[in-house]
Amino acid sequence: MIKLDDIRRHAANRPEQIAVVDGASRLTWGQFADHVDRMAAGLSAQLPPTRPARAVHLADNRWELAVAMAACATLGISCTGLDTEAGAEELTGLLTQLQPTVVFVSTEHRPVLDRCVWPTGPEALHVLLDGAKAGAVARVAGVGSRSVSFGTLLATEPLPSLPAALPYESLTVIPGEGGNPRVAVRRSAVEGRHLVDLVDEFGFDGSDVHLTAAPLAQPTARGLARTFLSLGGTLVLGRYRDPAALAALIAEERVTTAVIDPVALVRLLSHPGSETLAKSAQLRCVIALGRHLNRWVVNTAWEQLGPVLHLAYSTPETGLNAIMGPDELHVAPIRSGRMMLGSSLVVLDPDGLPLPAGENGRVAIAGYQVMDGYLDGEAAFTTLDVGQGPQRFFVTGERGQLDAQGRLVVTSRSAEVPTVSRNGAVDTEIFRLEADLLNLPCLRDTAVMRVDVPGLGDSLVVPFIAVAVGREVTGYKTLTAACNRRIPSLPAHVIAVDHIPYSPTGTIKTDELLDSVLPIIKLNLQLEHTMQQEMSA
Amino acid sequence: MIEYSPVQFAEFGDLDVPDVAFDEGFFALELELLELPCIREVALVHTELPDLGETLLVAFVPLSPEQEGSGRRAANAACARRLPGVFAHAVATSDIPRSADGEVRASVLVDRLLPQIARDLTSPVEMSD
Repeated sequence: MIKLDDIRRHAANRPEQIAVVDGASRLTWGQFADHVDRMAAGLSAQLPPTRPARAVHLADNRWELAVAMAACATLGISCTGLDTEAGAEELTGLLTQLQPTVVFVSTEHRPVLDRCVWPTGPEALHVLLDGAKAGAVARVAGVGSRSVSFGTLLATEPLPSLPAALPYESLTVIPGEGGNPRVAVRRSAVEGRHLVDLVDEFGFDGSDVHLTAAPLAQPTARGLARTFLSLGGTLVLGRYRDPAALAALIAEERVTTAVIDPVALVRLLSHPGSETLAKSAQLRCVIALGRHLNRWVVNTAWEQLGPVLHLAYSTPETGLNAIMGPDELHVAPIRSGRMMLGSSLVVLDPDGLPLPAGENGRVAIAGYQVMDGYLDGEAAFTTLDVGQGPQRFFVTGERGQLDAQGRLVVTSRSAEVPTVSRNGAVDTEIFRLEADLLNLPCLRDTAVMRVDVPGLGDSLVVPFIAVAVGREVTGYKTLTAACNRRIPSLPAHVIAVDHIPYSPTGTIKTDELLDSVLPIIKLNLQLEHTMQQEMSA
Repeated sequence: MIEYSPVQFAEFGDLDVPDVAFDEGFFALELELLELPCIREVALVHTELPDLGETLLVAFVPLSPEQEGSGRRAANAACARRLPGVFAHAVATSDIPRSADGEVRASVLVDRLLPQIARDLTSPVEMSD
């Protein structure tokens, strides 16, 4: 993230211009500089003595996070983003590897953090980004860590001079299959070169209003946010999971460039609010990770957003390496891209030798963005000379080819087909349950749905239409018994309904059905809980 | 001129996977499904299901309820063309669970779709496919 010296430079030139937008909160460059200055002083005073000093954040995008990241960059503390959707087990594994000295967390994600126990946890400082505005440093109950609010750190008087920055270290989490994430380490700064290359490639400048509609934990989103702030542009953070709010934000804030996560992009393009953005918005460049996006997204983005969509090829180990512009996207295969400045790519045969264009092999990438290694062990590097002197190439797990036009086409995202392992016993019983229910004469219709939602956990939801009015109790008892007999390990929530919605080809519209029954089920559970409490009292 | 230094490629992982034809067919199918303009979102999952054994599960989000049938036919045709030897089943869904970088949360997806698959396999719709 941007450092205090750069923020002060922009603040001196344009103190009243907006630097960061987060909903109703707007930070001018002057306020941003003041907040980062105070935050850096507060952090410096509270920083535990453990070295290397590392920070992590577990929070959705918010202006406080931008300030915290800038303060960390100023002090030379790496600030690594954690997946806010990860469970306690996965987070514990990551925290054990990272051994953070500071944890920035929001109220929403604090419960999962409190369930994580790692060896250096008691020494870590927890900074609560929202909630209480100010307060003294306290101990986190049951964990032993020190906790301080963002407001308390922000109330610190700026230091006359900041301490010397710590040695550079940048850590990036690589989501692993089966909950085994790894961490990529970089020990030399690449931000300056990256900024120059992005400006050369896209012509970004200080007049741009950049929307980050992807988690700041994601390396491409973080890198582009840093780039636009360094140029003196405006960074817009928003609730990007809500497509209506995202479409409104793009138009209202006059966003010119954006990085949008694949899920948010599909939702945005599916929403009627995006249909007029090509005419009403100022968008000129939208970047999305392209590995999982399909042809419909490319076609619809062109129609609804205009010729702005760029699909990026990036990996946490090698950075942002290839990109495909909107024009070429229409004629190029999905999952293809042109190499960006500063990256070299070769395709290797099984013996590790470079293959000519058109032949399929393992993709290897060199360049200044490539990591130094993994935190927990060795990585697959090879040294090759492809005409620019010997270069260190990182051998990715993906396979692909360079086509006749010089584009990288990723043909497979792993060396072999990933197989999803299942709990065969539970799956078998779900199949049997469906067959059982078809034979029940006391039902007109029923639908079995497996859900994992807050308040219910992993459970079955079984709406049914009784065979006649007044026969709901019989249906309820029979279905509950059938579910408990077949799958006793999953709680079953059986509920009578008037209607089960189907698509024209007979697929149950589960979203529509769940929207109608989940509130009732949750209310029933609350009533049951209250009654039990009263009886036990 | 391209030069190279000899490397011990074996340390990068074994490329001689047991069934290269299946791997190539699977990833070619995945690319073909991504190229289909008649579906909004798609995910291809390889798993083992009760009674069916090895299964290719194609979860797709149709453009509209009326276009669910055409999406299903396109997905089934692609599966039959690329991997005719493996049982494949296409299921329409309203949403595909993904992580922030777009990777499909395959286990969650199969959990969610399993009851519908069981129902499909006994319904006239599946027989007509």
